Parts: sequence; C-alpha cells; structure tokens
Amino acid sequence: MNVLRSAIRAATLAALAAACFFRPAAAAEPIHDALLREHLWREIRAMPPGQRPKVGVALSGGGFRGGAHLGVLQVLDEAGFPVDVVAGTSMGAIIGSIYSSGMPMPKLLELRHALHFGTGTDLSSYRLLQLVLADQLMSTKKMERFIRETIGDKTFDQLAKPFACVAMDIKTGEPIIFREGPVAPAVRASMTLPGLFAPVEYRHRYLVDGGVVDYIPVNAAKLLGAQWVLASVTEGDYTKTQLTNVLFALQQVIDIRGALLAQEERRQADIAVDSPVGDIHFYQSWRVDEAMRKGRMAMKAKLFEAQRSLIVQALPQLWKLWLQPR
Amino acid sequence: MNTLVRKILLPVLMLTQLSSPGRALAGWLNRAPSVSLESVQKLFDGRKYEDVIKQLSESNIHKMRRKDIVVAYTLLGGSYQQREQTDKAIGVFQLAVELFPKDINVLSHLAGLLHTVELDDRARPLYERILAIHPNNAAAHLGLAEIERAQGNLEEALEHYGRCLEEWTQNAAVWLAYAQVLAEKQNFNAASAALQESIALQPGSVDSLSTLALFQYLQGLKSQAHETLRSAIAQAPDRGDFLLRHSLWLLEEGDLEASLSQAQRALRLSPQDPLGLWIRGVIALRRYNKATARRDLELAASKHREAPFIARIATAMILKMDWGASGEAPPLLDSREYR
Repeated sequence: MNVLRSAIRAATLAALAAACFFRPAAAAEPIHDALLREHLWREIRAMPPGQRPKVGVALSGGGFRGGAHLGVLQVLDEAGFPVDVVAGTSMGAIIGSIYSSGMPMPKLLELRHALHFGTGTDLSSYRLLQLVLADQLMSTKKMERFIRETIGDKTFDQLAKPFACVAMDIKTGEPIIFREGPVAPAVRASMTLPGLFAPVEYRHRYLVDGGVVDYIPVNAAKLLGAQWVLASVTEGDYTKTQLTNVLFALQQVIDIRGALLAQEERRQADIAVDSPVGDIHFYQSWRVDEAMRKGRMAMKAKLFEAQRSLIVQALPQLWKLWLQPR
Repeated sequence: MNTLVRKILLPVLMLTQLSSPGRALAGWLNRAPSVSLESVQKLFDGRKYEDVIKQLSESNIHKMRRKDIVVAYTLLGGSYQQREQTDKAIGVFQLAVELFPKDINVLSHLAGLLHTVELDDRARPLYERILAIHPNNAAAHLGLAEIERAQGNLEEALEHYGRCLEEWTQNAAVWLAYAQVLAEKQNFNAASAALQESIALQPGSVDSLSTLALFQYLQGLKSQAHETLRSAIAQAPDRGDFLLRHSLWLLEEGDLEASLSQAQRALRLSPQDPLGLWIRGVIALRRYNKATARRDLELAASKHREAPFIARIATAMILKMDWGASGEAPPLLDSREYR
C-alpha cells in the first residue's frame, strides 16, 4: 500500500506541477502591441540623447517612504530606461542627488542601510531634551555632512546628470528650486522638516522642507529641460495616522498639503508611479527595504506603459527618422 | 473513589473494549473506506475530475487512514484546480495544510495555487516554511523565484531559479524562465546559455528558439539572430508573430524590401493583422507612396480593440500626414493621453 500511495502521489504531483508553479503571463499587452513597442523602443534607445525627448524623473517627498524611489530607479536602470535629468523634494532630494552624482546602482541601493533618522540630525538625549524643554529646534547639519561624504563636495554643475531640488522659504512661502551652487546645503534645506528642525539659512533666506510647496517636483524637472517626466510618488495615507504628538501633527499637515498639491502635479507628469507605501510613516526608517521593494513592484507594473508613453512623445523625432534616407 | 475509577476501572474498561472482537470489527467496518484510492487515481488520470470530486466526499475521506487522507485531499484539490474552481481548490488545500502542517507536497500545492491567483503575500510564507523543512526543495525555490520575479526582485529571483535548477536540471521550462530573468538583467550571454539548455531539453520548442533569436539580436549578434529566427519560422511557418518580428528587425536595418516581404507573408496568414498593416504602411511612407501608406495606416488605426497601441500610433501618423499636406502646424501629441 505504501508503494501504491507513493506512486499515486507522484503521479498526482506530476500532473499538477506545471499548473501550480508557473503563473500565466498577464495578458495586459496584446502581442502585436508588444512587438511594436519593443521595435520603437529600440529605435528610441538608438537615438543620440539630443535627438529624443529629454527624460526627467521627479522624486517626491515622503520621509522614509521615499525608499520606494530606490526601487523605481533600480527598475528603470535594469530596463535601460534613459534618465536625463532628476528633480527631488525632501527624501527625493537626498536620493536624487546621490543618483545624479553617477553613483553605480548597486552602491546606491546599499546606501539604504545608511539612511535612518539619525543620518540627518543629532538624536542625542541632550539635543532631544533641548528640543522639548528649551524649544530649541534640531539641526540638520549632519545631512549636509552625509551628502558631502557620499558624493563629495560637489556643485550642481559637477553632477553626472542635471539635478534640481526644492525647498521653501519659510518667511515668504516661495518654493525655491536649487539648480546651482553646492549640492549638500541645498539637499539639507529640502529635507528640513519645519517644526522639528531649524530652518537652514541660505543666501539670506530661511529654508525648510520643499514638500509643503512642491511635493512632486515635476516643474523642477521641466525647468531642467525635461520634455517627458516620470513622477515617483510616495504619498502617505494620512487618514490612518494616529496624531499622538506635535511632530506627527506637523507631518500630517505636510502630508495633507502634499496630497492636495500632488493632485495637480501628478497631472503635469507624463507617468505617475504610485508606490503602495501609504501605511509607512515618514519616520519609519526600518521599513526602507519594504518601501524599496514596493517601489520596484510599482515601477515594474508601469514599465511598459511608461515606454509606450515616451514613444508617443517621441513620435515627431521618429517621424523624421523614418523619412530620412538611410 | 475517583482514584479507583482512574487506576483500575478505566483501564479495565478500555481493555474490554479493545479486546472485544465484535466491537473492534464493527469499528473497523465503520471506518473502512467505501472508495479505493487506486480507483480514484484512475479517475483522476482519466481526467474525470467531477467523478473524483463525487467519490471523495467528506464522509469518505474521513473513513480513510490518516496516511491516505493526505493523498485524497491532493486528488480532490487537484480536481477542483483542473476544473478551474480555484476557490474550492484553495479551500481543500488549506484544510489539508491544517491537518498536515509539515507535509511538503500539500504546502507546495497550496503555495502554488495562491501564487497563480496572485496572492503572493500568502504564498511566500508557505514556500519559506517548506524551505525551513527541506532547504533544497526545488518546487519551493521555483515558487519563490516566480514571486521575486513578479515583484521585480531579479537578483533574488535568479538565486532561487539557480537553487531550483540544482535539483531540476532537466526542466526546460525552468531554464527558459531563468534565461528570461537573466535577459531582464541585461545579461544576454548567460541568458543565451540558459536558453540553449532549455532548447536542448525540448528541441521542438519554437518559442524558445524565437526567444533565443531575440536575445542574440539584443546582444548585437544580428546575423545569428536572423538565422535563428528563420529557423523558428521554418519550423512554424504559420506563426505570424515570428514573421512580424523578423519584418520589424529588417525594417530597423533599413532592408525595406525584405521587411515588406515578411510583413506580406504575415498578412497572407491574417489579412487584417494590425502590425502587418502598420509595417506595410510605414514602408509605403518611406517610399513616399502616401496613398498606400494612408490606406494601411487607416486600417491599422481602426484596430483599437485588438491592438490599442498600434491604433494610437497609426492615428498619430495619419494626423501627421495630414499636416504634411496642409502645411499647418503639426498636431501636438500628448503622451499623458496614452495611459
């Protein structure tokens, strides 16, 4: 009976194995559309950068949810998707600046282990006491040092790709788009969460996190000349936040404001990649890996759509290519 | 009194029960299964899944010995699965997993089913549980590889495919999947090598041959790629998609005559093929034969149901041709409209 049981079992398993393990490919894209997309994509990739539309990537704010940007950039890199200019706000500015410096992808991905709340500020008990008892806001000088140590003491024009980041003048409410000068203080200003961190003094202005005025910096990417923009969005689900302290309440205001701004900015982008990271709080640095994984999934799901959209944008250039004698 | 009952009367009572031949026989008869597993297996092999389901009623399964129950559940779940009653199949395998939490095959089936219906977050821990019991389990490595691949974690996917292939060296489908992930990582040399393994195991697979041709093309080995694709076309002359792929390559290389010839062959197989029409339209456009180009592109543009992207591109091209004729400003294409 044991032999029979084993035989039955083996036969059943063999019959079911193929059906079980391979999920049928998603029928989202008809085969003929896929063939044409692949063909036109190769034609675009073969064009010199100046002859195809300039591609921009806009990386939103969102604290450690921004780990998703790493996953998005990784998928774009693996797929050979051209990225000509980058713009970032807050965490998007940190990741965007390092990516724009030309750091190889594996090293960039490793950096996630270095990103935690203490990367940007001094979290010693003494400083926390000062914050609570003496109302002294914390400094983000450590972030400036982190950027310098990671990419060197570079100016914007020394980066491998054009890059811009956004901060806000806390006195006037103006969005400040950094495109020149030293990178590190600009990134620091872009991620300086108001209410917790002291504003960064820069050229007679007091600057804070750009997420309040430009959550998804699509326009900053366009200022850099992008003709087609992919927005990586890491919005939080603020309806689920427990407002247990002042910091959370402040972040809630930024998230709500960011969500309102994001509605319009999303429309300005040619493709918006929304990573499902809404349940990750801005301070949850231990969930960066999870955010990155979710960013990868979201970008992978949108990759063909992004290619098709860029092809449509590039049709005038393709038209010229088709009609020129070869 | 309690002590007396516990120490003396109860054992005596139990012994009496056990030693009573009549009672034992009645118990055995009551538990004796009314269906034989062997006959059910025959039904399953004969694809009579409905009969398997009828035979393996709850009461019949309960009469079986514990070791047979797990096989019965596998056959029952498998039958539901074959009848595409996935919810019921999952229910059966879930029950089996509760009863046999360390049975690798049952765990493997449930995980595989959950994966096929894209419940990867539930499938993953089951595969991990299998690997905790049996670290070299090929099916679990394959399942995790598929999940990692679907989630864009290509490095992890490659790791699991590799582990799976250590055990299942003769599985052409796994070699093919491994090759595809290597290609996604732009590692075309390794991808081609893996694909060769798949083709060697399954020489008749024209899909693998066509994929190999694509990898060669992407590596820049164009003459090899053309040769491989021609070989696939020769083996499957009715595959319009192979002809069209070849036609597009020839178009990229500027060989309009050869490209048109392949597109025409595809159009002979399927005269309304949107991609065939588009290719013929583009070639006519390049030859400044605008009337033919317009006719084919208009037909391609009308195929928005079966090929929405081709229809979109063809529509844009017709608009552009109109602009060329009227001398007005070119129509602005909004890439955001194409979502």
